[in-house]
Amino acid sequence: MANQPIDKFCADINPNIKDALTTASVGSTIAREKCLEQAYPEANKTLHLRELANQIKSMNLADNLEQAVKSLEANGIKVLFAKDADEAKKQILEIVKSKNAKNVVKVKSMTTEEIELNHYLEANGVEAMETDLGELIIQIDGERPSHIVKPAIHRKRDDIAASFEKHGIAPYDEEPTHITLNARKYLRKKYFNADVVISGANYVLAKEGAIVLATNEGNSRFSMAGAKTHIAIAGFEKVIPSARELSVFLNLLGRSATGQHSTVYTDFVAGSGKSKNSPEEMYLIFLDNGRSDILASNFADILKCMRCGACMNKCPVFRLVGGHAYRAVYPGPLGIVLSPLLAGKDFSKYADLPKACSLCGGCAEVCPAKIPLPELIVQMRDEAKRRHCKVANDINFKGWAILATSPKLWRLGVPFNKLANFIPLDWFKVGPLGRWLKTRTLPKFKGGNFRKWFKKNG
Amino acid sequence: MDKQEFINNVRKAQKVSKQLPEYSCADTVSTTATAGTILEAFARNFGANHGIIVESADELVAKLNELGCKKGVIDEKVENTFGLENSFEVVRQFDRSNPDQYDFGVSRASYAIAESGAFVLKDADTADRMTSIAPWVHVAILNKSDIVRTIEEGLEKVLTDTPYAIFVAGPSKTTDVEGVLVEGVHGPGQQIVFLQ
Repeated sequence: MANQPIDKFCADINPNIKDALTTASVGSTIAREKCLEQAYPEANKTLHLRELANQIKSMNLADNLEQAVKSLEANGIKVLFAKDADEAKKQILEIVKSKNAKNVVKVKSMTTEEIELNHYLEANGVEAMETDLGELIIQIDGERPSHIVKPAIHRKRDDIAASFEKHGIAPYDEEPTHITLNARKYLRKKYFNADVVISGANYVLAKEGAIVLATNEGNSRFSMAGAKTHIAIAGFEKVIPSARELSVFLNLLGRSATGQHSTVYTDFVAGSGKSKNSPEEMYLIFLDNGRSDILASNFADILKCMRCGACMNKCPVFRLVGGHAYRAVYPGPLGIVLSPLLAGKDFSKYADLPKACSLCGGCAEVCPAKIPLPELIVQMRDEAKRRHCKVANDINFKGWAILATSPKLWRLGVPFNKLANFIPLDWFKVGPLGRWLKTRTLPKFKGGNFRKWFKKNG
Repeated sequence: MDKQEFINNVRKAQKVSKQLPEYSCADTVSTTATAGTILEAFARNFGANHGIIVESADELVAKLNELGCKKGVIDEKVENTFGLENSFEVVRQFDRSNPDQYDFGVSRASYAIAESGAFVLKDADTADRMTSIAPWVHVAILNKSDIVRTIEEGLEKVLTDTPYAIFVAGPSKTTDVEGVLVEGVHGPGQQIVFLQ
């Protein structure tokens, strides 16, 4: 058995960070549970709400999308369609250039992380500044988010303060309140100088022709007060029929994500604003980037995800290794399923991920959209085998399969199990077995008499 | 990519789909969050979100003084200024060239939602978004009769007459540094509702 790439992350993780990570994810899981219990003490009401979310997310996406496009355009929003990350990035850059914009502010969006927008804009001479505090912290150090809701969950206060000093944001001060206030001061100038704001969308409302953004910090509203052009980007799976369905989703989102009854700010944006300080123009880019292939596959359920992070908070593997161990934008159980699929022709690069799972089922218990994550993960293991990915076939189980599917051979083999007690395990210091035995050992074999007993007593 | 081609790809890809499920407000509403009168529920939930409620102009002035406020901006669409100009330096327009001069901003809340303890700001009822997001203290003027009980009712009228609306459930906050709760990230660190 070869070591998995994820094992290396687990071995190398700084113990302080591992503690912080475990505390934060366990804390979020407990907060989620308490919050939902408090809101819905009635038996099965939360379950019912999650089922409703799943059903709404199972609706015909093309129909909803078609209606959404009509309503969005009727609201004066320019709607664009991007087949893949490259096309989306080009569309965004083109808009930014057409406005002669130099300064762009960003509202935390996993979709823009997915298409790696910031680097692209930077390479083209446009500063794209993240405004979410967690995103800012990782952006200045060129890192990737390690959690989809708490991108800087792996960072400690002292190294954040050192980074702020290094990048000229503020003198060293590691008090969390001061770090936050320093970011506040720094970002205010960015808001007022911003030409363009780029956001994602938590939901797109087909009937109203609007996008919905949920934040706690208020950076969405500030960005949309500062800049004159608003570009939003969303996977087409974000479309829901109307604002009414948000009574299902908003009641689940904050509670599942951070154990809050509601996020602080929920923006509803149906075009350019009417306020003195508001965007004069709005664009929405619908992104495919492999999603229609996923929709056509056995993994379609993963598109119901609302990016709350509850699955990773609950995951015993994520709690020990952190998000970077998943080596792609989406970590945890969600990432195990989504990353190989989004990678397209690079599928095999992530084919080991479904092994980073004990199939405990915790993620499925907490998913607000009731996505059957463990089933999808098992399917992903199968998919990796079907695609002949090396990592999926690194141990040959053929002999075992022949033995286990033939009762005769099995019966013949049973008495030999006793020999296991005489294997000198200490001799195996190297190789795959050696690695395996570093953390575990074999129990004494005591069985082998069941068939005899069953014949007599059964 | 062409619009029709994009939508056709999605249509071709989806093998099965379901109808919009039937459900009512009773399925989604939190009975614990909406218990009591509408006003009680709003006060309880807005308070739990660390929002502050005041019920008179005197109380508001006292609160603003306590928070060290000297200068404020009152949104042009707020008709009654409650004599705040007698206690503070007050302007009616937000000046972007000097945005840090305001200790507080006052704007009109279009309505509020008891269930989530949030007030709603619509572009239709506010002249400038900056008033409610840039100053450290924000005061939302809210009519008691404009509070609805449930989120579902709140969603019914959110985009009816405006291109932009926002639910505000307390002060701007983050837990991005080691999970420590800090209020006042970009937006107000103090969120006050002045009930009418």
